[in-house]
Amino acid sequence: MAEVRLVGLRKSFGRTEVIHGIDLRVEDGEFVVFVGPSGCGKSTLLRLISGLEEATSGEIWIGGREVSQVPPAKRGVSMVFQSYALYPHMNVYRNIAFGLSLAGASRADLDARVRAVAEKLQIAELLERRPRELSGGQRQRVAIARAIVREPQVFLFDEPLSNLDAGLRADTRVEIARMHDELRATMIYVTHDQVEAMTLADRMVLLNDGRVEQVGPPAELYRQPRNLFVAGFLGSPRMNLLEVQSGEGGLLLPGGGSIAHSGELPRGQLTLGLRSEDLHPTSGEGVLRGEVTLVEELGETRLVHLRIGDGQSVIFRHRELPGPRPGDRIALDADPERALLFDGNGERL
Amino acid sequence: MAAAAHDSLTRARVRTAWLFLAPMLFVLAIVALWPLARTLLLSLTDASLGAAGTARFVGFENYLVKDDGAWYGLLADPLWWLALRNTLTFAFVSVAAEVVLGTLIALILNARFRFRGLMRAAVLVPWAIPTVVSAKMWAWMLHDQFGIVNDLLLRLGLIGAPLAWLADADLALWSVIAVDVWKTTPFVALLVLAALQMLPEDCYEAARVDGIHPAKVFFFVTLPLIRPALIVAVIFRFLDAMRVFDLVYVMTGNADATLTLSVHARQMLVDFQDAGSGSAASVLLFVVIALLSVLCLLAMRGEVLGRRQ
Amino acid sequence: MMALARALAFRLLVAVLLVYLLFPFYYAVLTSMKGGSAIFSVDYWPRQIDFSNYARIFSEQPFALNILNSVLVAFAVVALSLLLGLTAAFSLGRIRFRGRSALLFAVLAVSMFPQVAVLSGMFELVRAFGLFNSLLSLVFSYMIFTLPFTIWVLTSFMRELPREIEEAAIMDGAGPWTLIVRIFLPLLWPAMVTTGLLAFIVAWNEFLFALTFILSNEQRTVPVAIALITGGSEFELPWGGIMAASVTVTLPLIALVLVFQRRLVAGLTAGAVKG
Repeated sequence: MAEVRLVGLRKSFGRTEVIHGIDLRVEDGEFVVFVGPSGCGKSTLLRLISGLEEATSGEIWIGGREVSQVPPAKRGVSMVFQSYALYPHMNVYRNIAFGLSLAGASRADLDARVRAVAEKLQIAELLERRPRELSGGQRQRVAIARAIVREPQVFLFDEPLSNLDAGLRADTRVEIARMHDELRATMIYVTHDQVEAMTLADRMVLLNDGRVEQVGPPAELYRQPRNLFVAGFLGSPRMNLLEVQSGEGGLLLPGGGSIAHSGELPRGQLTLGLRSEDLHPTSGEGVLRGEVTLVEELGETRLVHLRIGDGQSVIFRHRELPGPRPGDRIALDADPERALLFDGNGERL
Repeated sequence: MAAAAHDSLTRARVRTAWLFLAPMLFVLAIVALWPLARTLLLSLTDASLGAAGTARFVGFENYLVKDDGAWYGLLADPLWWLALRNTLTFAFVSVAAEVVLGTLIALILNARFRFRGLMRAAVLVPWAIPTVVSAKMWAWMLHDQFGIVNDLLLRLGLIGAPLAWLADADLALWSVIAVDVWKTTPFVALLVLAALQMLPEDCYEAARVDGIHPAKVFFFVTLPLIRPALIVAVIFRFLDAMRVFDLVYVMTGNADATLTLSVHARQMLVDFQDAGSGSAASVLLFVVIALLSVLCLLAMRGEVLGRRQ
Repeated sequence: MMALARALAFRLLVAVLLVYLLFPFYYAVLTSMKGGSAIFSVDYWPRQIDFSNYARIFSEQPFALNILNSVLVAFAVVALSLLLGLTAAFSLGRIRFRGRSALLFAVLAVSMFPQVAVLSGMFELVRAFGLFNSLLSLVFSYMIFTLPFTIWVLTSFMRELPREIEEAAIMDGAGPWTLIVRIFLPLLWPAMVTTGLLAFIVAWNEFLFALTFILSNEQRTVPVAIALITGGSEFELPWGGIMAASVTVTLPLIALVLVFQRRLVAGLTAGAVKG
């Protein structure tokens, strides 16, 4: 097991730079998730670590060794691919054993290791099958078995769940988490799915346009986003962002409400961020008032869209029964502790 | 440590690429480039195929030279011009017929009917038969005395007396063309069929719903859509037909009426052992085909650009 | 009524085309089974079944040897083109490097070479290597036809293989040669069968080089042997023998083509459409 350290890592394809100098440290045994919108460079970053792409400049350290000029197979990393990338012409046994046999493992050693891994991942009875005879979930396990059997220092996952259907995806997610607990291995995981990212990660790395926007535990990114991009990317529904005016002792909200705010604030226009679960209906005046335009029923809760004037609207989570109906007028209270403020450049204050 | 250029892995991969290409490049160089270069060189000499080593450099004399007020060389030889005319006629007519007939067969193969499997297999038969064999088969069928074609036409009353299909100078070229059409139409049909099977189904459903006549559908929907495939097929076939040798040589030998550029060049080279003029004739054929290829490429590019606008 | 007439017309068209496509070969078979003077009468239906023509081409000529020659040449050509084509296709299909498309274009250009344009140069080369009148001269010279399309078809199939499988193998420690032999070769075998078959057919059918580089009857390949079959005397018609020989070498070919028809069509169109 090993730590991974990236220093000033850059990557260009032709003249376009897609990774703009990334510094990052992944601790030994840590589960780190790279997340971000498509095209943000998260997969490229993973491929740089694996060696499938070569960095234009910068250093990659794995377990105290600089590996940026080391061939992929010798970096001590294993990779699980989005499409599983099983060898279609080999049975499960040979799929798992291929890397070991190329590395020159003895027959007995190889057999013992393949069977042990197959046992662990409950695919022992599938060893003679071809990949096309397996279900999506089984293929996924074989792909993971193939990664584990080489006993790498670092596991790399490239969107491994995106080819599974929703139910299986949740199950496999839990299983990957359990596997991490068991192996205590360093794992780097790429996904565009924030639920996967939040549930699996010890720490998340949110990337945008080839740069790191924020690194930290999921709850920290969710509660204390460093800027508007992070705030907007995480959470469903998206965080409500309102144009507000800061004035004497507080913030003036659209529709005339206001929130008291202690501490120094720049004057002028700011952006206020409120998550849907931090807004509550009130029978009093509230800070926001408006007319219900849409109700999305989710079962245990419902999302209510409220038009609050100035052409702005908010979404809040409503729990009690009966729910409001379109056309109802509602007043909302906001949790001032939870409110986030961003300046004109989108940085959190 | 990190200051070094970061491309050793990429460079190793590119090195591998060239390493794996090397054997193929080496073989192509000795079977294609070297002989072509030698042919070019020989065409500028008076070498003879039998006695190598006595060749003398003669410049462009094999192509064209003025001596005592008269022009000599291939380009002044009416036979070469005849061969060029025959070859062009052969290429244009056979390719045109193949494309029309091939499209018809492809349309039939694309329809659903009971004997489609049989038809599809039957189409492959002429293609599978070696050219020499089909030349012989047809030469026998077109035999002036005992040929079945004459017999059939006589029985049907279409001709009054047996025709010498391959010996008659007015008929020979057309006979050879007909055989080439029979032999090569399947290839065109398969290409067109592949294009037809990639066409979107919904266009046709829309046309059927609107009650448009099938002929109109063909000319206004199908034809424009398979046009690129047709153009590719035409170019391939045309450049191929310009090189025709086996069929003509086996059916009619070196006869003037069907003399093509390839047959002519081989005759000078092998039968007359005249490596100089023979090579020059080869080079001229190469130049003609290269020019036509460039023209085709330009036409294709124009087509692509035209479509984009 | 209109629909019925249309259906009838369609059937008639299909029938006419079937006769057009198949009759010549049928007639060759029919002729090959005519012995003696039957050759002088035109028949539309088989009247006799006489295999003496078949017996004669094997007894009076080295036709068995000719077939063996053709088989040897064709197999050697297939093996060599596939080997060279596969390694080249790996480079051209899976690795990005400067000059790749220029190279593919050059290979395509070679396939446009007229055969006679290299004839005199090739003749010299064959003689210089001491290969004149040897089957090796054919194996060697046929590369000019088979290599370009083998490379093109295999490259186009090679490109379609998923990138992640190659990357998984690289992560597993496979070098280029392991990658080709243990990953790509097993995945490409349908394409290999197709291109191999096409190369086989080309080598089996080639005429001009075989006519020029081979002198003796014993070294000849089938097409030249057939083209040069003559009657015992000036007045004897050799057509029975010619047709017997033609049918003998064509039947296996037709069988092969029909068995592999789907693969062949895919290979033909892959090579052509992507050009």
